[in-house]
Amino acid sequence: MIPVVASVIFLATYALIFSGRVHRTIAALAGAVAMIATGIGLGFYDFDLAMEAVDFNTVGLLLGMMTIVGIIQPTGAFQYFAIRLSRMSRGRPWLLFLGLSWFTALVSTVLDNVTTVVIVAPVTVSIAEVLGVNPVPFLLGEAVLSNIGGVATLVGDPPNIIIGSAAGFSFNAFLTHLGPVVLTVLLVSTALFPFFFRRELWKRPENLENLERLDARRALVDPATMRKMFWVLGFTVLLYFVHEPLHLPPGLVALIGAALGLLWVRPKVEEVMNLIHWDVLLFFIGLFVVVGGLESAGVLGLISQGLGSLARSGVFIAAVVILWLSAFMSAVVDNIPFTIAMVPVIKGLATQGMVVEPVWWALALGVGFGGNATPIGATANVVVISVSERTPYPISYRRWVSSATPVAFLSCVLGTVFLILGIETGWFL
Amino acid sequence: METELSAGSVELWAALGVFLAAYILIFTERIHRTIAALIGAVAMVLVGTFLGFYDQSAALASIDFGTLFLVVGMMVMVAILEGTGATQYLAIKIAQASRGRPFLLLAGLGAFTAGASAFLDNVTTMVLIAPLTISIADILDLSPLPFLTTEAAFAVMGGLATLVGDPANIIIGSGSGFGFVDFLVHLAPVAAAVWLGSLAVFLLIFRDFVRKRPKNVEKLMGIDARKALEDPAGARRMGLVLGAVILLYLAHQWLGLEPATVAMLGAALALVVARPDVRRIFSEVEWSAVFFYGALFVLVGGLEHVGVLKEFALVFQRFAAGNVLIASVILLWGAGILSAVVDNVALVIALVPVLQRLSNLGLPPEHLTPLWWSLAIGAVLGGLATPIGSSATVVTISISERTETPIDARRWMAVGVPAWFVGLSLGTLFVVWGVLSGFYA
Repeated sequence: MIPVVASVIFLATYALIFSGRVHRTIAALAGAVAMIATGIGLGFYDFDLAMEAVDFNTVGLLLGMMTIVGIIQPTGAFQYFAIRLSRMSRGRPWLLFLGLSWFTALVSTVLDNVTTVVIVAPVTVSIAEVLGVNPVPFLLGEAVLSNIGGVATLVGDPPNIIIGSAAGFSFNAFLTHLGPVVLTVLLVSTALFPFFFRRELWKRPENLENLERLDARRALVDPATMRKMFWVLGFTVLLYFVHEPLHLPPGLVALIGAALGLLWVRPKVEEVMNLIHWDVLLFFIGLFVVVGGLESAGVLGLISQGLGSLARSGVFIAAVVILWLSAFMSAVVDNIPFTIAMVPVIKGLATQGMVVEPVWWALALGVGFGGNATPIGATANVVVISVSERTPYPISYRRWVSSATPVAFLSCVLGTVFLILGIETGWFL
Repeated sequence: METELSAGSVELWAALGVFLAAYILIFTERIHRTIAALIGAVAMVLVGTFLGFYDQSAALASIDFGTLFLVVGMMVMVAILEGTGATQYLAIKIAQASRGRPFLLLAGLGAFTAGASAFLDNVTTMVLIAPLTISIADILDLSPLPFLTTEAAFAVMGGLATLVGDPANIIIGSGSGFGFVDFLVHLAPVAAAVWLGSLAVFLLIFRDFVRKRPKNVEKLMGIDARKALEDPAGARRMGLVLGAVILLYLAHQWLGLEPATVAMLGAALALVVARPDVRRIFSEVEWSAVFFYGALFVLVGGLEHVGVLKEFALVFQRFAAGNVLIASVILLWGAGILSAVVDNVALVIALVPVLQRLSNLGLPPEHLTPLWWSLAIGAVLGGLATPIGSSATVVTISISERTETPIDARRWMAVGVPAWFVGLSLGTLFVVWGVLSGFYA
């Protein structure tokens, strides 16, 4: 009874989000409230459990990075770099697309996707304004490639950190096992995107003459603040690299950066607060609460129990099933709670005598690539959509499904191929 | 989860140092209070992580999300209500009912302000009512000053009446576990008495003014109140949502719902029913305040983890166990005097864990309960005394700057200090009576 009710609320919330009838934040908040109220009535969930289910590390990371960006935004730094980069590309959109998306993918292998996208997206929007082109292909490509890039390393994505610590995989193990797949997928998707976005990327930008006349330095309203914030940003990124030995979680690192920036620059706090995408933060809080209710109701537990029977079917099938199942699941729910729920399942398979190394890799590939399939499958997706909604070119769900979803599907196929090869050759065992 | 360390250790002094530095930074207002609190919170977590008494997960556990989401939920509802023009509509109706007579106008708008601020936040109430008051006073050729100053004072008093009326009450409610009905039963009579007492004092202060004959009364009566109603359908729907929320508040303890759940339920309902532009509504929520409260919880949580607050509670307990009456009165006046000069939210967030500790230390509930109510009365009404004591006053003063008689410190104190004194004195009477009769036990 309880798992059914929780699943119904969960499905209704997702139906409301994907229907686009109400803003996704309203849908997520309504779902969260419904889950808590029902949970109190039936006794499986309450406000305190809901707050425990919220991953405030992710929320803090978003909040901190958005605050830093909110301080930088009024300085004109984003426009400055946009003009410089547009000049370098000589107004060729596809060159810009390649440069920006590969930059995002590479940075995402060492930095959190959210951090990367929160900073790259405003620059991208400015570039599109300077050139007079549609920013949608760029933003979409950045989100998708940052999600793919994050799969390659231990620190690239939160699920990898969870898997790494549960399976005892090292940084190098991730790079050698997943690096080749990720590189292939990156190459294939950069080959596909210019085709999906052929109308935008091969067009000559309208403002090419304007570009000649624009003075990058004139766009930079407040160079002193920009310089200060670069030190802050540099320091924050540096802290990310050493955050583990210092025992500082990423959310705290981002907030340290935000606090330093606020103290040094002393901006008008209300103005900075208004530049933060609160709808994104509340959307994730709502979603975490809904998925937490599903977990408290025992639904995720039932799924993992069902997977226990995979032990009898052999490592080959188990790995492929896990890859596709986790790709599907992480397309709809956040991949962090799902990965956490899968850890005991895979450990359970190991106790039944299975060689589970390939299954761990399958999990990492599935949750990493699956997030690209839907507009809300990964944090970076929601961030770029919210950014695009502040421009005249909002990213529609349809646009997402017609370009990113095929890439997600193809990357899972490629992941399966590599997985099979890996098992056959013994490389993944 | 909690690590109690012996006093005198490095950890204790480090935590105390960070806390005091942050609070001094907040109270001196040299930099924005949100920045000051955020820096303090980050410093506390950093120091705690390196010295081992505090870390991010402990800091998150210290944040009272009940308070934060209650504030956010109420602000979302208020932002949607604001767009409908319902408040202005009601205020015009009340002004017309007074037929422009200053005495009735002052009492009527005062009652409306207090009533509205019992459910809406004080700043919004004043932002909606003050400009309207100025226009009405202009029409009647009366000075807006007596109306504006008394309204700001009444807004503060109205906030005392309910759990959601003032941030201080929200925090006390969450920390003490008292529900909406508890606040209504124990504090609404105090608020009503203070309102009546202050009205009497205000009429005395403005005795010449309230006898004046207004001009252009027919012009006031000729205003079409419906024109103020920008979105009649939205106003009706929001009226229903707010009605449902108030009913849920009245029943929340019985239903087992947290006040924060009710507020978010109301916000979600309002968002679904009114379908406003989400980004506009969220940009009207005062996030810097939410951020500020969150950072304060983290800051005070660090202090709690090193055990400073326990020491403090022990001292207070010796006191309160001896004589609950004296302890309550001292807490009420102490909070009342401090809140006049410093932010009452910062004060309350620091004092709530101390009172919670008292119950852990074995202080019987009948001795603890009066302390909670005393803290609420002192912290909420204390802000009346000075022009910077409450957010309602600060916003009213800035709105009054467009009139010929802008409120300055002297003009504010002429009204605020008597109201403060009447409020704390009547509050003391209630607490004394409540303790002796067992009503507050």
